[in-house]
Amino acid sequence: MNRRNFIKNTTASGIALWMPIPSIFEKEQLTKLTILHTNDVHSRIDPFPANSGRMAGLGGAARRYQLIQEIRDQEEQVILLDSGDMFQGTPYFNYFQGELEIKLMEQMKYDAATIGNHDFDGGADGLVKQMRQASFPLINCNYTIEHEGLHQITKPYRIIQKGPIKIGVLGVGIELDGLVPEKLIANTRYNDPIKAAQPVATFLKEEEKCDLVICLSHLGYQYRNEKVSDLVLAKSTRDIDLILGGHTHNFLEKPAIQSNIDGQPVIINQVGWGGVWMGRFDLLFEKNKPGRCLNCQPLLIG
Amino acid sequence: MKKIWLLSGIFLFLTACKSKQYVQHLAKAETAHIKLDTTATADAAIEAMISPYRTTLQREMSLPLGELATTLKKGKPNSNLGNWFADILEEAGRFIFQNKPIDFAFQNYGGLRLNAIDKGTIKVGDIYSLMPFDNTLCLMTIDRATLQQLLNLMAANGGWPISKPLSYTLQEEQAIDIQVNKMSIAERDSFHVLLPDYIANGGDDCFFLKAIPRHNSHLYIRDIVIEYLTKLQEQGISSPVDTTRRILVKK
Ligand SMILES: [Zn+2]
Repeated sequence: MNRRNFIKNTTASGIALWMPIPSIFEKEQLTKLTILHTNDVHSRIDPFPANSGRMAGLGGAARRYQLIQEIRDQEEQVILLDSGDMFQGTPYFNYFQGELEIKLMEQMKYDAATIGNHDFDGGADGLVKQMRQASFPLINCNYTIEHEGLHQITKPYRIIQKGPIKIGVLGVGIELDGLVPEKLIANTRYNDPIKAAQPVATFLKEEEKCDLVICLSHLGYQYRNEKVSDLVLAKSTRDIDLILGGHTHNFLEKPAIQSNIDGQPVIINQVGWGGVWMGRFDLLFEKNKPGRCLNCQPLLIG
Repeated sequence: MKKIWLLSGIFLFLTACKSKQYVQHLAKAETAHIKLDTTATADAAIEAMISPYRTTLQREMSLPLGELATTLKKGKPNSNLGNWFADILEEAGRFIFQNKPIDFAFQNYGGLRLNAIDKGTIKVGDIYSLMPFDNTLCLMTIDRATLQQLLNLMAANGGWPISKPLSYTLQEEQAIDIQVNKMSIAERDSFHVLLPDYIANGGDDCFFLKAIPRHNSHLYIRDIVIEYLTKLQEQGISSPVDTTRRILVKK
């Protein structure tokens, strides 16, 4: 995409996203990457019914699909991710065991999803059976998975190339003990997410030279106790740029910024639950020499 | 559809790369939470895909389960919805675990996902909305210290639904004056408790229950409640709603 096009696209949508400073360097190239994300959709295929309080009338898979399509029509580079708990919460799951949830995600062309505790509610067998309809993988690096089928469809990371931008996606999940009945998880074991995620993130950043490393997390945003949360994961690791979280159903007013172990900023986001919000990031990448960036701006939240 | 632009601009040098090659700097980041409300249009092809599933569910979910004379509302520490639900668990549990002693039933507050059930006809769909999770009903025998620990946890959470035979006073996030069938728990050493498997397995910080043996009915609580209400309906009885305060609050 050339820059003229890029500017035209953004102003056409009614919002001037950014006005790049005219460049005197010829080598500078800008690429826009749009990241769309959901978490804890919990089988909410229809909008919330009228008796749902603040959630009434919100959400719905057909609306989400339409919105995703509109964004795909406008933007050249789009990735779509989910942070777990696709399943459980409406009779759609109880009656059809997640068949429609995955069918719809496949239509929406999700690129990856991580495993939430409720995704085990139909057992490991049930999850595998439904994921057979999907061409996107489950991403997790901190579960030891003995179930053969689940092991096959779960990857520690996925690399997605979007134009000139290389994106590494890893995933972490919550302790299942006490959350999911033992017989459903088929001996899946939880390992420390910090210890599991660090080598994967470093591999993606250093070895694979990913331009952006995203961690899909179903750990939860924040806890009062010692439990590993997205905030703890962010401050205890390096090489992760963006954590897209879930599990605690936080409607974050805006994404949080947490310094990592090296003092570099990590963006953390979560978009409530039930599919009433969809998260969107528009990232602008500038191809330039190391240490030289004409369009780089200091972090601003507001 | 409202777009909220929240974050503009980020400064992130990818410092790791020491080569003279070009790198991709993350120059700016903007984010939005896109709210899917009634102004968002629904894709027709997707609607058509959902439609046959929805039709099946609507038929099942609209089946009636009797009449409610008053609206049931969820609340802490006491609520008519909580009392109603816990009493049904106890009644149904006595039928399921026949010949086993039972003292009371409780339900974790977070497991009930509806704020209210309107008066009038209760439908199968209401019970699915109230109890979407596949929790099963268990029976467990616990000692006095464990009961105290359990009720302290409930008290610290502001009070969970409990069935009629149990009462206590909530003071400074602790449970005091605990009584079962109007008798102080100091008189007894063990208690027979009906509870969701999620809690028995250590959920909601109930880790201290994990190692205790239990009888698992392997029946979903949701299905138990639906069956119980169906039976009452067949007999022309409406389900009793008891409004006595089982938890007293002392400042
Ligand atoms: Zn969830």
